[in-house]
Amino acid sequence: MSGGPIQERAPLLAAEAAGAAVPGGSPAAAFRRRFLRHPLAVGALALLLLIAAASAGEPLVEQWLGFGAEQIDLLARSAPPSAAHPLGTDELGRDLLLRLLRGGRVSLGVGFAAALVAATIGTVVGLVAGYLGGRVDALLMRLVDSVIALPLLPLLIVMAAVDLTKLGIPQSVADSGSASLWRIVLLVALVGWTTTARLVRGTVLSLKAREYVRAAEALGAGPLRILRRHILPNALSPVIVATTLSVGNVILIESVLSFLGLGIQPPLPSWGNMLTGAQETIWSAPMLAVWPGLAIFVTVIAANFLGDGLQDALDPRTDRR
Amino acid sequence: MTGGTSGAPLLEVRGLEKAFAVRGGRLGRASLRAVDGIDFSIPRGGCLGLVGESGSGKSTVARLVTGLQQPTGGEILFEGRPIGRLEGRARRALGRDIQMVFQDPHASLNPRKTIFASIAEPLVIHRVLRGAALTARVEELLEIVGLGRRYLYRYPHELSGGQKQRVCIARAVALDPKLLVLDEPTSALDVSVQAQMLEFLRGLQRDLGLTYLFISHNLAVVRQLCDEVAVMYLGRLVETGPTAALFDAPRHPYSEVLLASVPLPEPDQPDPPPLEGDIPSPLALPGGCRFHPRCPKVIGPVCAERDPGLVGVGDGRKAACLRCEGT
Repeated sequence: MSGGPIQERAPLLAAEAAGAAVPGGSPAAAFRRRFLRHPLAVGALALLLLIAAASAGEPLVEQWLGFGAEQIDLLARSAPPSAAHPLGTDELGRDLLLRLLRGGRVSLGVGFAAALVAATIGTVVGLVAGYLGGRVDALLMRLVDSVIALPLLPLLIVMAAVDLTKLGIPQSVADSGSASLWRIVLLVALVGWTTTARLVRGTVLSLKAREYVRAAEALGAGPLRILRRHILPNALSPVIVATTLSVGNVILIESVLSFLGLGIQPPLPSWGNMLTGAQETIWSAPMLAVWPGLAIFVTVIAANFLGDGLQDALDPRTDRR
Repeated sequence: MTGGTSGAPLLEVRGLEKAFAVRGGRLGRASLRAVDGIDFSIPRGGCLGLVGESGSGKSTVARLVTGLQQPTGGEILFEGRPIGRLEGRARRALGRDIQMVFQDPHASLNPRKTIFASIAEPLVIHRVLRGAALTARVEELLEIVGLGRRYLYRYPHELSGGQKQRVCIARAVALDPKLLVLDEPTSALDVSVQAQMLEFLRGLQRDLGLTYLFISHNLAVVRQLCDEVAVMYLGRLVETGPTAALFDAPRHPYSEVLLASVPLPEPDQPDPPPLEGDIPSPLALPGGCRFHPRCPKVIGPVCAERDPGLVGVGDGRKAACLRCEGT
């Protein structure tokens, strides 16, 4: 053949490059660009941030209203909205807005923390089971099966009823509000990781047979690197969607447990126990149920939209559209 | 074309075997002999074409040579040192000298990693370069494979098949390997891109002083690129020899049929009858010569009884056929 390889390659460039006119940019910029293309997801993120910020800023609102969240005003029980109480008061005369915001702290915190812990446990178990395969896989998946086979509610009730002081935890810690909070997070995570584990295992099984994983092996990559760099990032988007979906579930589980008197203990408010507390007065003061219900509803929906947007933004292949 | 054969071969394979345990068979557990005792060697700077139908064990040979799988028998000598059973760190260190390009460029790049990350990966794994030097080397590699630096932060899905295969090749040569195993590198590409890719591979071999083990079922491609050819059938080599000689006058009936299956640009000559039937299951190997159930030139019952070995037939060629043994 005549001509050096450089000359031969040159004409190819022009021809091959003709079809590639997609904007490049750094991965982070590309991620932002793809995420911003989803107005619903952007709105959902803004809404969640707003709810979170309002909940975190609850003490400021207290100051502004000149009224404490746990302050009882028996003369203004079930009062309608007014300048002093923007959303009115509950059956004990506590300000509803303040309780809603403080409940948001608990519900959002518990929801995201438990979903995150569950997703982490599930992802690790799924990665190990799927990648190692064989006996490890069989053992871990039977464990998943047995956890799924356990009836959820009785289990949670039993575990929620465990007396923490008998486990060697000091009385003062066991009685504090945060103990019941962490207890819920732990309980929900302990039963909630199984879905993620199965999801991740299945994805890993298909991913580890991909040619780019073989290629990485041929390049000399060790198992940890392959898992971290090649398998995990590609297995993550279903996990993210499943996790955002489960945030809603966790908030609901928390409200069920609180209803049974085993979850977040009053007077510490959560959207769940506010909702159940409002049951008794549903006819006389319906707004006491509507507001926390609406808060749960909006949060769950927003988490789902956010999950959808993240899924697309995390996948560079969606750049084409 | 067989030049550069001085000294020991870069890669030598002796009696290589790979059996897989599979379920099924009469006893509930059977052994699938994907590669069943093959020998070949590639001189430094040479290019050996390994051809055969699907299921003949070609790709298994590629995976054994690159260490993705462990052989169950025989030896692989790289620069005179046995490497077949090395594992873990020792094998990985050797991986720098032997690299592989996979069949499907669409599947062999991680879709979530930029071109930069993909090409840089071997350099990062083996801790060769970092920082600005790493970026410079990746840019240089992109130039070598005929892509520009503007592809650095693209994603695989933004590239064409030919471009992706170039990226795969850049990744494979990043560590300056001595041997490049190419497992059907053109079969997933459009025909028009195939020719360019072959020309590119030939130039690359010359520029970087590479040795190729080229695996393909496409004879036209092998003819263009390879100095030597080894024809594989059901885990065995049935014929080896210099490309030109083997293509001009194949000695083994299987090579003959395989070559005849390539369409000729001569409309006057009638096409020879195609090979009948499919390749038999390696779980139920035919007795005697493995090719006899499909062979158009069976001598007699002896073909079903005796298993011919590779014997020299002159001009550095070897064939495994009773007809050759007879003469």
